[in-house]
Amino acid sequence: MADNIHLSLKGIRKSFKSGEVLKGIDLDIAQGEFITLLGASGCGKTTTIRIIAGLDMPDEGRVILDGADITDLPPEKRNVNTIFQNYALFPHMNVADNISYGLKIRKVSKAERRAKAEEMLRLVRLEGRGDRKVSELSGGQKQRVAIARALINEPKVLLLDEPLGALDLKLRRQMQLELKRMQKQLGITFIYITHDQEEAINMSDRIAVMHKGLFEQIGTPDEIYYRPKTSYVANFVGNANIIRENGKTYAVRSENVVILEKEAAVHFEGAGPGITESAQEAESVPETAVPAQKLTIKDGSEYDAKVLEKSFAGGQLRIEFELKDGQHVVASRSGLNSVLTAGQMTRIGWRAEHAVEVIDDGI
Amino acid sequence: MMGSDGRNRNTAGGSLSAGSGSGRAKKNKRKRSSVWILMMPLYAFTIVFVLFPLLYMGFLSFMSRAEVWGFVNEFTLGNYKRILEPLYLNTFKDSLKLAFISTIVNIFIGYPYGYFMARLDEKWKRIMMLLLMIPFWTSGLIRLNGWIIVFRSNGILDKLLMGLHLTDAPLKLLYTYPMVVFGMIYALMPFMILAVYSSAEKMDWTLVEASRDLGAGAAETFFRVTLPLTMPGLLSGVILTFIPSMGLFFVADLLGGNKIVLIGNIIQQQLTKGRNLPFAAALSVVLMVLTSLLIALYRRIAGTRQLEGLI
Repeated sequence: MADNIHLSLKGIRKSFKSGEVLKGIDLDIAQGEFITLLGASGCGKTTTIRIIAGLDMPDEGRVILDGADITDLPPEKRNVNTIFQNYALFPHMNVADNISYGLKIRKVSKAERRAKAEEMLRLVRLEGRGDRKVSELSGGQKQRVAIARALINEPKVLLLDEPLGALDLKLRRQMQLELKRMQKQLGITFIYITHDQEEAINMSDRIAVMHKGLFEQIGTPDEIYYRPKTSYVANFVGNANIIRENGKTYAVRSENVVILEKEAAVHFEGAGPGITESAQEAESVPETAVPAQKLTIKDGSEYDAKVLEKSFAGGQLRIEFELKDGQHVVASRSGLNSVLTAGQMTRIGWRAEHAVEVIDDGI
Repeated sequence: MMGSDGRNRNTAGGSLSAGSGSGRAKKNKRKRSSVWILMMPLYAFTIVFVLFPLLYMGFLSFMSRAEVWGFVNEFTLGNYKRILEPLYLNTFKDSLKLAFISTIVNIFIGYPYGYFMARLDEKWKRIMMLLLMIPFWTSGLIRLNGWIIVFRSNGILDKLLMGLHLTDAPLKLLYTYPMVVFGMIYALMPFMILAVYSSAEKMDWTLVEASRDLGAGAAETFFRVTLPLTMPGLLSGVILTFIPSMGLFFVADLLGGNKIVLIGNIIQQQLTKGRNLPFAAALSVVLMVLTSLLIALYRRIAGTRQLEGLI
């Protein structure tokens, strides 16, 4: 990584009237890497890429691209292009003119511009649509034109500011794959902004989780998901429960919360291995015939818990519990139903390996 | 002042006339007839106060002059022949020249003002808008008389300049051609500013950032993106300043004395002092045709671009 640094941010600080947006961030990005800045709105991710693009100037810190300090260069002098959130296509030009805008600025001949634009239209699968007006395009097509318009300049780095935010779910999935395909094909460094953790995990080589103007954790999707360093990362990326116990803080993802009551466990499928009297065995017996019998976890913790609420969201059943000390825990499974009812007392727990100790930042 | 642009109007019309199913169609039909009733006063107003006077003016321009006041029902082309006399032809020429000069100056001052006003934050936008609108609350005649106090011989400006020893003698600016041009620019500037502002305010500023991002410098971005996208405002600004500057006779009257005579002045004189209604009508018809032709020409040059809901 260290010998292959392509773009690096060094101690970037930026304040607006509303307050300090970036509080001194450092980031090294490798050539050809797909890195995602993940964070809630207002965390400073858009400001970060605007500084890389040259659209905002940092108050402090340097931006280094291929060893050259580009901090003070205007946007047009940087070999970096941006995909704007609203696409920012020029309404007074047709699709082909939009795409070849960068070439026209660089005084490339008309024939070459046309050939390159055709090539780009093929890349983004819009062959033969060069004469269309921008206003005639659908959201997904506008998105592709914006990508083609940036890529035609062969930028060293492509910045993408929530490029799929305005698209519907199905199209978004499809564009995620296409963006990834293009990035691999062209080998251009992508810096991608999103607030959608699924998107980040699907596409990125590395994820930088941002919170209040700082990077909470930078790592591969696996690291971020399975080994969160802070309670914020665990909660934002894995939707994990944050459990505070004996002065320590643990993150437990909701799918790892086990319900330790046999009947409930049967209906609430997938109690998982490591639980004595496994749910799979129990399933062969008619439910009503199973005597109320406690399940236990070999190596983990168990709690008495009260069922607060059941809900169905994002293809998953979520059950919220309250522990004796007042902490709330959410368990989730695929499936629609559970025999548990609100107000009922039960026991829940998780295996020790599923409770990741994290730094507590109050979330 | 500026309505929605033509494209919006088209889509609105499209959705009104669309609608499937007989029930929907019936409903639309009823809607249309009620719309028509609501539009009636507007049509009536237009016929009574616009169409009829125009036709009457056209008719009048072919009649003969009466002895004291009014006209006699006697067809003649004499009024139009008289316009071809050098005196009147030259006045048309002078008026056109003045209108061109004041419009061009208005573009160079009004465009930047409107453009930058649109980029200010809300608070400063309000302040700049207020500065622009306050003079509107005072009569134009009073404001022009105010300028007389400033510019007349030994007026405020002369006293100030001589007090600072910048000049030795009064400048005698009043009642000169530049003074009339100044007055015209002053009177019409707000129209240019507001027209450009309304266009610039609607423009998506991320387009400018996108252009810079794609490699264009600030100047190139202006000519390739900003100017084309604010062109509708600039075009309506040009029309809003060019046409009135042909007819604002009181500016030439007050600031030009009787030395500077524009076509508006002649029309006014023929109506009041000359009491020649048919000739005044003929002059007005020619002025109207001339400006219509110029607008048509301008629209052709401007191509398919919409004139910000003006024409």
